[in-house]
Parts: sequence; structure tokens; C-alpha cells
Amino acid sequence: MSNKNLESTELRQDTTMKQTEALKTRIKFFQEQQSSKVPGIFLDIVSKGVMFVANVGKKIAKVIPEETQKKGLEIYQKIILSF
Amino acid sequence: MFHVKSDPNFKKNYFKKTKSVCPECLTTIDAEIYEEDGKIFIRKSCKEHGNYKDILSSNADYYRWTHWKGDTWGWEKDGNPNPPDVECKDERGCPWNCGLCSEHKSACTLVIIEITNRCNLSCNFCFANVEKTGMLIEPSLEEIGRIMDHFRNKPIPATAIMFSGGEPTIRSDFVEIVKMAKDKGFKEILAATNGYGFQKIDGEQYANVCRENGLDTLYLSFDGIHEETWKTTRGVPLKEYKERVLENCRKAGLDSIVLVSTVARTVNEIEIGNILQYAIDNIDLVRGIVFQPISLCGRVSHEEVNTLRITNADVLKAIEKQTKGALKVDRDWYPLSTIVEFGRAIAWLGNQEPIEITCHPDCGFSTYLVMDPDENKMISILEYMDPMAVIDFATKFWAKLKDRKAPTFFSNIAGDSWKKLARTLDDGLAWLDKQQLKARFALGILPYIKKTGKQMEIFTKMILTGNWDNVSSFAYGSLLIGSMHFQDAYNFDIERVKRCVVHFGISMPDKTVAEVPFCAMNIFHRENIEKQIAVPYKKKTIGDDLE
Repeated sequence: MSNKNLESTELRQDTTMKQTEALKTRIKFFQEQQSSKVPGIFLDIVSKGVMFVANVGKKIAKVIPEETQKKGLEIYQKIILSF
Repeated sequence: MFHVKSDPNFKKNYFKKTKSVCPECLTTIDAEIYEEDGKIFIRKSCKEHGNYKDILSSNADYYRWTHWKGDTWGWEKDGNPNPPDVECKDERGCPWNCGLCSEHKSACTLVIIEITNRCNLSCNFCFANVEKTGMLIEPSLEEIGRIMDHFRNKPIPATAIMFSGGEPTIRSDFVEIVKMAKDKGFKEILAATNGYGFQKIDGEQYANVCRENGLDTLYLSFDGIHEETWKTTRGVPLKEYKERVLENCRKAGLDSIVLVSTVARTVNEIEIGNILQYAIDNIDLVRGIVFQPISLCGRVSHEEVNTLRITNADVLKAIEKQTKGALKVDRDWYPLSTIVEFGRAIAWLGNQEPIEITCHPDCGFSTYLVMDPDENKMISILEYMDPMAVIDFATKFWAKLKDRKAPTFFSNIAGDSWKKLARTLDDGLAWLDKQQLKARFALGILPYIKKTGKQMEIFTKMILTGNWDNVSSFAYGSLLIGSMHFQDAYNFDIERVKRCVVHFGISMPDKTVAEVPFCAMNIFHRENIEKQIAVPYKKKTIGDDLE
């Protein structure tokens, strides 16, 4: 019953052309779900905006002391959850 | 991951009292789950048959972590069960009162219907095959429809359904069954298959018809990449057979396959890394891998249990070892129940039926490898965000969101003649309210994004829209990897079965539908139920569509 003589492989994480095509399929699929172009464009703008803010936030965080960041984050979360 | 290590409660040796059963006579008995030598065991004693001890986890630290409960949340989630189907008449209590009784704590997430026990293979371990039992179990289309209605008509309807067997694609009306499921509103339709219908000479056409009629995903049995493994597990070489399945599905555009590997120690544990690599190499089709540590149901000796037993923790450790650390036990793996509140918030914001994976933390673990378009590399999703912080925020968000009522401002002030207009205006307010809540949810997660880029843009869009198609689209190019350990009589913990979210649906002779949790069915109820629904097998008329 034992298969001890089998060898395992080292995982190759690099993506191939097939995988790149798969991602294109995914993005295309996602875009096709939008019933009209306007929400699609709107979503693009918002998601890019969120990424932009996240990037800026990361850069700012580097120059702010950790303790201040923590307090700032608590206040930020309180504002977000104030509904 | 072990961010709770500083919590003094985390350091205490794990101990819990629970109920289990005697593996010999299935009498309900007291059991203890305890820690010993860095591992977690269950021990129990039957007055008639003696003492039993079985391993639950080979990693006590990880086990303790998945059972930790903080101030705001833990992994043992409160389920949101449907009303019971049956009264608790059996004084032995759970699990002897199934269908679902008032002791069950979770709604069904995945319905399983065994549409036949006929199969083209005759695997060593399978005791349900019609060729061995001589009894056929094959519900009619009417009975299958009745089962689907049972699950769809509940206050919390099941959204996913899986057709299993035997081999489901042996049925000549399989496509009709798939179409019926789609018509009845199931969002995700899966076939637990060895690939029979898809590997045939007309497999491409078959896959195409299945896809067009609503089949979403193949839950494809896949034990390894070596013929030696297939011969051991299934009795025949199946490597080329499986490759034909993938090739035909690829040509037909049926591009969602989950590889399912039953893992047994000394049999195919060494294949875990190979299967992962095979999935990555076929990422245009393969959306996930589910490793299933073997569940030792049927007549299995205690000695065999000790030889074959492998736990979820062993699988995760093997993945770390066999992938040279690409996926790490103490960084990447989370109990399936982790995303309950996150999923509820997404469903609420997107006006979708919720998916309630409120199973017990021991039932399964999962993680994602995602293709990073900026780096052309498959990497762990946890490199993109701080998962604990996101989950913590989603839990707080859901706590505020769940009781939120739709606005009635205009309806309250309008007279009778203006009611219709007032309702339309209130609908407008509700839409605006939902948009601002979506924005809050996305902004709330923003501080915990560790890595920006296209992948996170797609993730943000998914949060902002929240509909089922967009959630599904996130899976393209990503690989969901899970390990799910179904129970047997040796390691049975009653708390797990009470929280089960994978339920069998069986049409009974009196036209009722029995809804039975997965492990309870296999350990306790299968024999009795099958006696009631099986008919003698006439090979000449039924086996004619087999090759």
C-alpha cells in the first residue's frame, strides 16, 4: 500500500502564459458583468482612488510614530463605524 | 498568525469535555479533548467495549489558536439556523434525531444529493457501489426536484448544490438535473465526479452542454500525479483519464475545476505538493484544491485507524514542507468560519442571499494563492492584507449593520394618496444609504491593505458591487486551497456535527425530505436510510450507458 518511493516537487510560483491569459479572462468576465459602461467606469475610478489613498497612507505612515498611528487608526475606525 | 500568544489564556493546555460515540456500538458516551506532547487527542470509554483514544490535531499550538476567543470574536461563530424539520423524539438526542432538529446550530451552505450509486470505477475503499451491494439507489427527477424545493424554500435558502454518487455523470438525465437546479435558483452547481462523462470521446461536447445548462464546477477526485498512486487508491491507472477531463473542459470553456484529494498516511500524503503544482500549472481551469484527510467510516479496525489517520494539521504541515514554505502553517491558514461576518456584510450590501459557513473550527481550513499580475507570480493572499485586522473590522461593521432598517421617512409623513410616491422616495433613500455603507466598508478595510496593485483593485470592486457574479469572478486566476476533515466514529465530536453546514438531502418513501448533516449521515444514518430507499439492482437495464 505504501508509495514512499514517490518524489514531491518544489513549487514553481512563477506564472506562465496560460496563467496570464486566465487573469485576462477574469478581468474580461468581470467587465462583462456590468450592465452599463457607466458603473464600470465609476468602479474603475473608485477602486483606483482607493488604491491611491492606500499608497499615500503607507507613505505617510512611515514618518508617523507607531503610537500616534495606532491612536489615529482608532479614531478613523470610530468615524467609519459611526452609522 | 499567533498574535494572541501574549494572551495568558492562549498558553493554557487545551481541555474540553464533549460527547462522542463508541466506535463499536455507536452508543453516545462522554469524551474529553485534551493536549499531550504538543498534540490534541480525544479519549472516551465505553462500558462494554473499552477505551478509545484518537488524534485530532498534531499541532496543539495551532489547534489552541483556532479555538481562541477574544473580546469581540472567535472562530466558533453563532450560526443562524433554519427552523427545525423534525421533533426530537429519540431520547438519545443528537445525532439520532436527524433530519434537522432544534439542536442544529447552522443553516445549510452546501446541499448534497446522491443521484446514483452506480459507478464506472470500483475503488478499494468504497462500500456504497451498486456492484458490491446489489441494491440500487437512484432518486427520480421528481424526487430530486422535491429535495431541491426543500432547501430552496427555507427562510435561509441553500445557495450551492452538489450532485454526487456513485458517479453522477453516469445518469443519462444528468444535464436535466443540472438545469433543474439552476431553474430553482441555486447559484453554484457542482458535480462531485471522477470525470467519467467529461473524459469520453464526446467529452468536449458533454462539458459544453453541462456548462450551457448551468453546471458551474467540477469537484474532481484527484489523488496524485503518479499512476502508482491511482492504482493504490482506485485500482486502475487514471492519469491520462484525468488529463482528458481537463482537456475537454478546457476546450468547452467549462473553466472551474476543484481538485479533491482524499489523503491517507502512507498512501498519498507525498502527493500533496504535486497536486498543488498540477493545479498551478492548470490555473486557467483549476479554481481550487480540497484535501480531505481520510474519514474512516465502515468496518475499520483500530489498528487501521492508527496506520491511515492523518489530520488537517498534518496536511497543512505537509503543504509547507512540500512547497518549501510557499504556504506556511502559522501564516496562511484560517478556519472556514473566519469569513462569516465578512460574508454577511458583503451579502447585505449586495442584496444577496447570505452564505453561512458557521461550521466548527475543526471542520476545515483554507487559504488563497492569487496570481499577482504586477509580479507574474502566485502568492499568498495574506501578503496583500492584514487578515486579522480586516476580519476584526468586518465583525464590528456587521454588528452595526445587521439590525439596520430600511428608511421610512417619506412613508411616515405622507398621506394615503401619496403612499406610492413616498415608497419610491424611500427606495431612493435606501439606495443612497447602501452606497454610503459600501463606501464606509471599503474605506474601513483600506488601512489594512499591505500591498496595492491590480489584485486589490479587483478586490475593492468586489466589495463595492457585492453581487454573486463579481464574487465568483474574483476566483478567476486564484487558487482556493482547503483542507476538510470529515468525522468518523473514532474522532467524532458532537459539537462539530451540530454546526455542520454540508447537508445531505434524501427523498424518503413517504415523500418527506430528510436533511442530514454530512458526518451524521455517514456514521449513523446511511445504513437505515438506504434500507428504506434502495431497490434491487437489475444490471441489464440500468448499466447500458456504461462504457
